[in-house]
Amino acid sequence: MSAGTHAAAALRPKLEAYLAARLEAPELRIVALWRVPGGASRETWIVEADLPGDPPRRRAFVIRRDPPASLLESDRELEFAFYRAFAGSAVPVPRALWLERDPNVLGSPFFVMERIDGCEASPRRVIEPSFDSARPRFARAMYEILAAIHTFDWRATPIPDVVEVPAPEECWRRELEHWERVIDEQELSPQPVVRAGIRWLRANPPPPPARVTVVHGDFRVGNLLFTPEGEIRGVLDWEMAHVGDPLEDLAWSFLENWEWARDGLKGGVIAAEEAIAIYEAASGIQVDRNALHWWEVFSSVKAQAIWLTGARSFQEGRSTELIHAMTAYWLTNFQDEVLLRSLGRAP
Amino acid sequence: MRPDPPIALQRIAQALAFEVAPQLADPFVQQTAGLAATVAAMLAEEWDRAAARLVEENAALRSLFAGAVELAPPELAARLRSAAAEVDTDLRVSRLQAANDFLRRLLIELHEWCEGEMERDPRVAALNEAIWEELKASTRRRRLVARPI
Repeated sequence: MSAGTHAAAALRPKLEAYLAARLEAPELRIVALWRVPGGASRETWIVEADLPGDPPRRRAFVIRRDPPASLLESDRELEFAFYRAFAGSAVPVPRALWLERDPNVLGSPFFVMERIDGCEASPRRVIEPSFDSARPRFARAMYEILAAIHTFDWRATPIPDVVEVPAPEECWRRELEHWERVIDEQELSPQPVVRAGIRWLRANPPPPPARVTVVHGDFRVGNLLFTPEGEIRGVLDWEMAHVGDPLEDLAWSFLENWEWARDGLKGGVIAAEEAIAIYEAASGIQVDRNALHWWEVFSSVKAQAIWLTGARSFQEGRSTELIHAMTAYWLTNFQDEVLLRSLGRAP
Repeated sequence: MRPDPPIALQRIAQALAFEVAPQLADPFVQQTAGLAATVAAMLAEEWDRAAARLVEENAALRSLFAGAVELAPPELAARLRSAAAEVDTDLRVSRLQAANDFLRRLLIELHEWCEGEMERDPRVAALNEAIWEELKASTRRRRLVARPI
């Protein structure tokens, strides 16, 4: 039995008991359970269960479980609240069902969502030739959805209960101080490039946004569920969501890391100016190019903080997941190169 | 060691990627095998060059510091002088890495000082540019050809 199937076997009876109790269906049976590859923060499990009936009714769920260590020190209650807040809005999200804080149920806290069927989530899929005809629709939808996130009226939702709401002029400072603190705590070796980037950010602050909005915090192709026709049906991974400057999300989606085809297309799907035009038209937010540049430099600092966190958790044995070693070996230096380019210090 | 460790690591990467991973049904375990292959390929690349890379970079940093001694304020200048006089005699990678960490920490301090002073002295501005060149060179030294499998 492999490590993955061993973990699934250990999880299955506990999860079956939990779902049976939640759904008041004592005869519920799990028919499939597997861990989704690729996650570097919270563990994601897919579970398919048959509920009694003739014929039995099958339901599929997604379990987001806290790991022993991750790339992010994130708050499951916050992520759950954002999923709840966007339910039924113009921003497609999976339906969040239950939040379980008791670590004894599955070994660590978790929450449960309904699975969205018929979708893909691979960022590499969007650069395949077979996606050519769907790509324009997908790219437009991506930036219209980002606009919908940023025009969402969040004040009457659970969001203010789980986040601090900064004044517009404090958005950049709060984010920069947060991620600088992460780097201070997590770096295994000094990082002269990212330190220079942080000093540049402090010396060249952006103007405040016209209004503070929800910021997804990790808005990129890899966190979208989409159909082969390019329809986006789910925005995932809200664990870094907060309230702040909307340009933070736009800049993050433009990060060179996600230019999968290395052809200059953001996320592998769209030119930056085209994405900005779609976003501006849909949101009514005018994108200040200098402010966007500030957030692009910031995005590399934030990304570096995430890779450094994974490196330390692997080094100290809090995580044995090889994705942390791989991202550290590969992306730490890549991020320095991206940052040097953003600062105009490398071609 | 013969066969050379990079060759053995490359063989491990190939076995994991092309023989083991395709046989695994569980997608998460298959991904783990792919990651193990990628990490092995990266280690293969780094194994042979690590000491040379660190010796080269430590020497470059010491040379930079030697040139900065006459410009920096006395306390910083004393530490730069001391660092510049060091030589890597213990060639274990762990020792070279520790020296590199010490030198790169001092580089951050020097860079920050330069940024505050370069407007008043063109020699400091030139030193600032030299630091940026060294930062660019440092990313070239660390660049890996291996990519996720």
